[in-house]
Amino acid sequence: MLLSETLKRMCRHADPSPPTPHPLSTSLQVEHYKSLNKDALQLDRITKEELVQLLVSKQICAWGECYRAVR
Amino acid sequence: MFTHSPTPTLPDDKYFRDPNRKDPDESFMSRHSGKIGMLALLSAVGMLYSYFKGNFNERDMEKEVADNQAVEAMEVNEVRFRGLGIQLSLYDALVLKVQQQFPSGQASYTAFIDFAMQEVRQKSSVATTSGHILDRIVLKHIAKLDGGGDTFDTSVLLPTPFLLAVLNITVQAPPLQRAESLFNVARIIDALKGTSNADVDSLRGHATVSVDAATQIIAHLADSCQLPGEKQVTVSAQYPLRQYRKKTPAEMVRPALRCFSLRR
Repeated sequence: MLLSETLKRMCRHADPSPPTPHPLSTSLQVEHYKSLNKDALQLDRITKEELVQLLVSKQICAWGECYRAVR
Repeated sequence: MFTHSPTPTLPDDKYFRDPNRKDPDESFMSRHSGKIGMLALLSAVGMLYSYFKGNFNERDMEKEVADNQAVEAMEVNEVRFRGLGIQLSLYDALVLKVQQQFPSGQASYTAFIDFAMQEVRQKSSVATTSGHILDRIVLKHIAKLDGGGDTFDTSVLLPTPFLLAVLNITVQAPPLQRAESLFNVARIIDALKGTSNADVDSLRGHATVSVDAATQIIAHLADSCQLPGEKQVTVSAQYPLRQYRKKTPAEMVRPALRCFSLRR
């Protein structure tokens, strides 16, 4: 069964109020990722923070909006 | 009294009338000014043509990448803000449960959705719009795997990290937190490749993931239409005209890592 069909079935039990959109990331979070120390890196592995920084880098710009967040 | 000096002789009239006469003192530039001017003009026109044609090629490739995507960026946002409404904590829990449910790392879309929605339903209520957008992404991916045909066989086994990356579209959280939530997916990729223990408890203990897993995440994000088209093109040839092609995930990751000094 496809997701759209599953959702139609679940429609009866779902909360009718639409979820509120989350605000964009705060500058504090951005600064946190910018200020990470890059010296203690392992050669072939990256940490969670580094993965995040990779995804939101201007070369990849996942979801489009990330580039604006870290520019 | 005065010494005799010979009278200077002028070239005869014939010399001045000769149209092909060459002045030995005339410079190269003055002798070939016409040809040089024409060459400069042609070069300028050629450079302008190359510049604009290269830009058109880049735009065409970006358009091609965008056209090949199953959904537009606006639709992805629509899913996030008006769609399923999966919370970040729920998604994180779901990632680990999916790994428990499908330890081989492969699942059909229908099986995955049945399981995921069952989990979601237990934890929270979900809004009921935009599910068809996720369907479109996965079905288009299946068709692409099938060689671009129009058959949509939903029983085809797909990698669970890809399906989780697709489901990540629905997570309602700021981009940085959404990116964080993909870390567990990267851990699963590592575990499936055998570079770490696939046991869920062990997964939680890994503080790092391999760059290959990160590259795979980028590939899944590209396949699930979560990367902008303009970031996915690169120059394939500079001369005579700039040509562009789609980047591989590794080509996207490498310069980003270099830029952030993560890895050389």
